[in-house]
Amino acid sequence: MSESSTLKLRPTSPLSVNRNVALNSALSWRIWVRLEDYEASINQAFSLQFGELDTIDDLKSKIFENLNTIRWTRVNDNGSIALGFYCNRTDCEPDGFSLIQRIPTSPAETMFGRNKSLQQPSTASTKRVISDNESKGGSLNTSPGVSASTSPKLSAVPRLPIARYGANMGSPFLNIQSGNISNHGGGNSGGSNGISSNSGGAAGMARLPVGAAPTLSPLPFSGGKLALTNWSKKNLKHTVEHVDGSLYRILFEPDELVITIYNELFGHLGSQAASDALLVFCSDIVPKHDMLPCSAIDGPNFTPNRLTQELLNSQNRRREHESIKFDTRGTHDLLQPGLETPPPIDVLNPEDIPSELMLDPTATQTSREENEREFQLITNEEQLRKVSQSMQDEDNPDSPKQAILLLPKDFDGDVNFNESASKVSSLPSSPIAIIDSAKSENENINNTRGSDVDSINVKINTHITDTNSYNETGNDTAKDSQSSNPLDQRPKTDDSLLQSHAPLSEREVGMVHPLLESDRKKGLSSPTSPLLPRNPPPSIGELSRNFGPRNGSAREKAFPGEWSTTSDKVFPRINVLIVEDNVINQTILSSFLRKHKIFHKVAKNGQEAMDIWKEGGIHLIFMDLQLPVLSGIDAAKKIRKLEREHGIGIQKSKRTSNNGHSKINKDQINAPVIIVAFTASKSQSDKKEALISGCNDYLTKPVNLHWLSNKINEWGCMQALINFDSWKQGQSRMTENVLAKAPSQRSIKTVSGNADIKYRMSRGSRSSSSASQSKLSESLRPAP
Amino acid sequence: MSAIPKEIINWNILNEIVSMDEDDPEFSKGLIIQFMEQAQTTFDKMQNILHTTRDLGELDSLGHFLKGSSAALGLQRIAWVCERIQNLGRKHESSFPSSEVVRASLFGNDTEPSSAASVESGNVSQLDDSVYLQLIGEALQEARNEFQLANLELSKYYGSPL
Repeated sequence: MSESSTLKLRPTSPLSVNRNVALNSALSWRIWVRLEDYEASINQAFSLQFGELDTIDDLKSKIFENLNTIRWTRVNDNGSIALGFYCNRTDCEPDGFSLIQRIPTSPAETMFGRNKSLQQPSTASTKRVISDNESKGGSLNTSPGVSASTSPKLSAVPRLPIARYGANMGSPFLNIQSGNISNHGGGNSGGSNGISSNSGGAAGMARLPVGAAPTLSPLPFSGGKLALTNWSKKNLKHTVEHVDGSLYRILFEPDELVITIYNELFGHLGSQAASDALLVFCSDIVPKHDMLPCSAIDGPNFTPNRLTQELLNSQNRRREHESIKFDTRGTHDLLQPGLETPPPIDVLNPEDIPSELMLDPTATQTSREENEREFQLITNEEQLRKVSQSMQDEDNPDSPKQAILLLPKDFDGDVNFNESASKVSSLPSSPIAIIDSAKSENENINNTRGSDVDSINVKINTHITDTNSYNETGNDTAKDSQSSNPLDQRPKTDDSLLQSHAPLSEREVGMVHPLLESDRKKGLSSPTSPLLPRNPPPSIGELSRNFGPRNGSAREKAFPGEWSTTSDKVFPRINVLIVEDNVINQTILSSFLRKHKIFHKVAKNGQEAMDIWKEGGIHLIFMDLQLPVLSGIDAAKKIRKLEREHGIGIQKSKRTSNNGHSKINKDQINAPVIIVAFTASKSQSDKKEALISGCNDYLTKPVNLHWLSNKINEWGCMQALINFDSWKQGQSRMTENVLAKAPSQRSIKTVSGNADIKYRMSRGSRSSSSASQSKLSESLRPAP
Repeated sequence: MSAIPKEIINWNILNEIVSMDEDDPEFSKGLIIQFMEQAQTTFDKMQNILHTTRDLGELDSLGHFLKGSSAALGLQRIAWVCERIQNLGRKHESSFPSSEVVRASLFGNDTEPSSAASVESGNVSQLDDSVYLQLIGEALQEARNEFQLANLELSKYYGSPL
């Protein structure tokens, strides 16, 4: 911040200078200017060359030319900046005219008397305006740039004197603080047109009050003791703006000639020192909360304006608010660049959110429970670039919040992008806020409604169990017998909510444990089950070793804080394939997954990974990149290629046309697998290569396990989307429009989305001990 | 070349492993022992290659291999040396600090890992394999040293020789 010497300017006023010295054309005409209040640590004056006919407006253009590389020029335009200087009230007052009133000292006025001025704002009203100004200070809303652009006069840089004077009317310059104040009669200049329509320069010269010249000093620059006695009498077109206390600033009209100002203030050309630079004021288009609007002034009486203060306060309040209600993780960072910060939401109770605004409630439930984070949907490259840029800017490797998860192109989860966007736009808050509110609701009334929903889920799953045999024999029977059931099974609880939305979500589909036992009873998990993979992977022995869930309390002790209490109970039911050649890392990862009861397999190299993936049932692959036999990159490429060939994750039309392939187990693979690359190096090129090869995400080794658990949560939510997707595909395959109507959809989904669950279940039930199993299902059983 | 980590063990990482002992007592210890064996085997393999095939690519991947597991266990100085071996094998680097420098870094001396055994970087391209092989040999010795240090440290932690 520039502690400028604006007011401490050298009192070396060239009083003695003969102001009428002929302009020396041999000298280049330069004027020193300096940006006021510009947030650079060094802010020196710079000089601009100007010509005989140049106006302040021209000078502004030159400033922009000169500074075309800095940000300042991008947030300002000719209309939003002004040239001038600070002065004290006392300096202005002796003249007698109220300083509150702005001073249209156009030449015309001076020549014809001020009483001819058409504009005589009542003192009272002006006062009000001024006080407005006071409170506005850094005037965030009234962008003069905007008002300038609406002024036709300004669109062309006025070069001719007449045009200049014309621009006098409604000059945007005056709008900087207030529209009212800016009115100064166009008629003022009417008379002057005749005079000044000679040459600008001549007019300027003519305007010099010759007699007054010797007594005039370059007042503003004499140490704040402006001897502005005659200031008002000067023939410079300017406005006076009340800044604060006794501080005023003089702003020159854009149509004033630079040379005139120069002569008036500094004397003959060349007598201005850099330290006497004119200040370039800009209106605060960009909120500069941390800046005092006039920090260039080191006057003791200067305090920040009220509004600025208020803004600051409200900003702080909002931050506080968000940090209380939302927790601060990434909320600000992830806000869409284009979106305004959502206003504080005082009521976070979802009951107050119209129910149709909530994404389907089961999904919301899912996100409540599985998600302690915020999402931002990114649907195009531009957004992605912005977000990833902003993430890079504050790269924090330990933080799980700043991850971009790439979804397949045609990915269509249970968030309808268009719909939710439009809905959201009608809300005062961003989508993030919705999710957040849901989350906080979860925290608040977890005990009441959350458990209800849980019990519903379990009931549905029980129901699935009952009808699984149908699923075996044929989907048609199954869906017929199912079509009305789930609703009947859905008792008393949040019926309205569930009925109005609620395509089945991962949470329901994924809640498989109640099935384990009943499945076994029905013999579905017998090795002859058609749903079992025909070729159990070589690592099956290892798998079974891994599946035994250990006692839960020990687990909770293992990791401190939130994630042992919230996330471990909701870790997604997904099958993970670990591809890692080093047995140590294999063991670490598989132990970690085992600990969190996540089903997983291990492959030693890319080829093995391919083979296991082809069998199906894998949702997530942790892929080391540098592998023997077949590298992770190549494996990822091959998997993506096969997925393409088989139309996995692509539109169903393409899919059905692809019956010839039999290389992969299509029954088990109904959605693109999520591949997460584990890169050993931090180099960007590796990561890039991984993403290009088809990986969705990457982690840098050594993998931070805490971080990984957060990521798994995230991927679990992905799986919710994926399962939903597979349900949709399954459903559309049936094509019966009759069935396409809710509520029967739910049951259909339940049935058709079940294949891989059963696969998992049967695997799980074989490998986990029955003791831990019953324990599990017990823990999942709804409270009586 | 990245700076040599001062601490033998990055406990932030190893503690994550150790925390899994609650599920499975001896888990981390077993893992460490497994690593010790793996490291010994890998060192021997490297030594063998240095004496026989002198295949830089092989050394590169062995370095990478051991880097992965040592880093996963938080044995960061071993991982650091393995990374040097890997990069030397790839000819991405052409120097390895002297053992004095490596040792000094352990005691917090902020000596830049500069180049006792380094080669003028100007003629990197003309260096033949023997230079890299020699540097890898030195690095391997350093790796074994670091391995001993880590072993001591871990034995202290587990209260029994590993």
